[in-house]
Amino acid sequence: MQATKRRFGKSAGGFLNSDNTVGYLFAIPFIISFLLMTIIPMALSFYYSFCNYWIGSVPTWFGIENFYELMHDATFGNSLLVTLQYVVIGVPLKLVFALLIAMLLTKPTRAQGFYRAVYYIPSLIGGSVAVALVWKQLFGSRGPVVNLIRTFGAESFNFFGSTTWAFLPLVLCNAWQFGSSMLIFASGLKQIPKDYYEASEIDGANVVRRFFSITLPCLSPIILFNLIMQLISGFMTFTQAQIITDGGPNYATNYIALNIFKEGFAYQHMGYACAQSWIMLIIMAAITGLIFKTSSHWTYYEN
Amino acid sequence: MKRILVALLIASLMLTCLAIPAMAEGEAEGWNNVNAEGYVFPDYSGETLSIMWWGSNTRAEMTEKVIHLWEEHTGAKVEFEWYDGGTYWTQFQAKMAAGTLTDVFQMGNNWLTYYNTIEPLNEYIDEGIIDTTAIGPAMIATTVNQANGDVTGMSNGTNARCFAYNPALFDQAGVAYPTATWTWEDFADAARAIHEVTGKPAITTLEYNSLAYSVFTQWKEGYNFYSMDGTGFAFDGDTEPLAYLFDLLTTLQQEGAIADYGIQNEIGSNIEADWIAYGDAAMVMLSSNQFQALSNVAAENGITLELATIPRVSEDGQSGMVVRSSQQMSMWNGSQKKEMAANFINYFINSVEANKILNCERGVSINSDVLAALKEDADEVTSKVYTIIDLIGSFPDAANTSPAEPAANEEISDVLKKTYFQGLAEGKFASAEEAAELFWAEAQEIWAKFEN
Repeated sequence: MQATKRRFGKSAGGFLNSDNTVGYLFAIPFIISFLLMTIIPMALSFYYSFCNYWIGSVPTWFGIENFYELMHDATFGNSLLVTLQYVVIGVPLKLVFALLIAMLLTKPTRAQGFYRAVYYIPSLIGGSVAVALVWKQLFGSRGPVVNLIRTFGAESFNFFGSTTWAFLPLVLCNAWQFGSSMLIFASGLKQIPKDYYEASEIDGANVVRRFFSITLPCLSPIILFNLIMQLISGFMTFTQAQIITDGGPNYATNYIALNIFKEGFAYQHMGYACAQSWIMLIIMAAITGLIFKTSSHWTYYEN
Repeated sequence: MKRILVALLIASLMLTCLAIPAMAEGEAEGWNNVNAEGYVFPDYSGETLSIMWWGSNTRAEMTEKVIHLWEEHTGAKVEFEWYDGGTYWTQFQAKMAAGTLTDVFQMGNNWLTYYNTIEPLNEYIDEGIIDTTAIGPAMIATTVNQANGDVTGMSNGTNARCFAYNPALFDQAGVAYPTATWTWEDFADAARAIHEVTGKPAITTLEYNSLAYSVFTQWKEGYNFYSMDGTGFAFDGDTEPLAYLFDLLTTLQQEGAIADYGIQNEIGSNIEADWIAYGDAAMVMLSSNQFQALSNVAAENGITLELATIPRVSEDGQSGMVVRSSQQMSMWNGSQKKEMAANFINYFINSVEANKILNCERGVSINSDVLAALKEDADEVTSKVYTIIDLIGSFPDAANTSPAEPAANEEISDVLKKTYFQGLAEGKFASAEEAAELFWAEAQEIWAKFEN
């Protein structure tokens, strides 16, 4: 009797003590939320993209009709173009900013922590509606920036009234949130051995030379990481465009995420919107894949 | 269509006559009249009701007061949330998808789009929980689904799209004030003259889709943008009226007399932010029930505003204006507290006490008792709203609108503004005529998407 009990207790204890059990137990909250918030919605959206569906309706099978229509949709094509413009201009700008500030902040001073925190704040609050409203005021038709430009003679200049310039405040707002890239760059900069710099200094290399021959190559894996993260978030930009310009004027800032939102929620074509989001996923995956593929040619790993 | 309406009216009148003897036997008609002396409110102690609406700060303050009054009367607790006009529909759809809509919600004339969330109120009206003894059948008809007779909500009041203007700026530019029959030419002259004097746009906010509707009706008798029963377009594919409007507004905008689309978007649905309230613009297009909120801000800046009609194509032609339900209080069909919700709607629509606070800011009350009481001690601003609604109501074509906006309307009006108006301003079309032709083709395509 006693023996069985002990044996049972032992095996139950063994089950509870096994690394796998503990691992899964701790991972359960993540697994559940990953299923509920990511996998199931993705599967549903994949199904809806082949359906005629709007919120509150019963989806009816549509075949590839949605995708076929997408090929003729000028608004969607334009969305892809302006999103690409946003990413191609915005992401490098943001990374340059982040690297610049990170380098300025590597000199160990007492206020270093304070400055890092200050520069990180925009990243914490930058995606919020409140900040978008502030930028709307700042670059708006009566804002200080426009007033400044008008004093130089462009009397009726208005960022958000111009299809050429409306994207600029949005790109700047995104670049301003360079904090997380900056922190990653900062930790990357610390990893670069000091001896390299000392050796090159003795050999007579100037600051510019040292930057391009030591800092950039040693930092290249970090640049790759930041580039990919920022590309993905760039493609998904939504809040600022919705709040500040509503995609306008004449679709100049109608980024793909905003277009998907409009099709799905305002125009009642949720199936069509799902199809658009899958196209967007494919494009993003292709670009990310391309960067990974080519990265072996321009990243340098010390080991 | 008019004949059907008349038939409906007569039928409902006959039904009322027949119903009177029947009602005498059962519960007295008007038993739930909240204005009756000695009216006892139902007791909802410990229960909660949820409500959502869209609108300005002014509206929110007033509505909260009324909600607190009802809470005091009934002991209920009301959970409320409100958003600006744009955010509201996103919130609404999210709640709709999640099945967590509020018991009572504000609904627009786009109710056809959200039809499967709405509880028809016919039963509650028949039982008298929602008291309609002081509401005319024509007023109830503004929120009725013509296809099946469902009452989709109780109208919060009627309104009309019109113009507000600042007489001081008209004086400054030396142009005459708008008259009841002013034309688009008068409008263009005034806008140019004012722009010349102030150096700023004379007008900042225009509702492009409703302007298009107006111009179609003005163009030729019998024309309408959407047909009255909401089953299609009603202008015989004639794109001339639209080309006229495209040309007129785009030219004025390029001259600087109308604000660029960036400025218009900045103001958006936030009427309190319109330049006219700060003396920087002379005219604005708005719904008559937005006039109070706008005037409040203008008054803070020492500006008195007036209301005017929408300009016409020709002085002796049709007005192109309509009096319609501004918005309505609807009940969620998934609500667990339908009777309570009906009682709230009854109070909200019919109570003189409540509507003295609400002050027709949502629209001119559909309840004749309430309206009489309000007109008695109306302030100057509200009187202007009553006057313009009475004036527009006197135009023969003012009933020229369908109670329901077609589901395709949201996309069609967005495309009209963003692709065609804004595209024309960017020079993407050779001419206004070409833009109008292309719009007509795309509008039909969009309409077809909703047919299957």
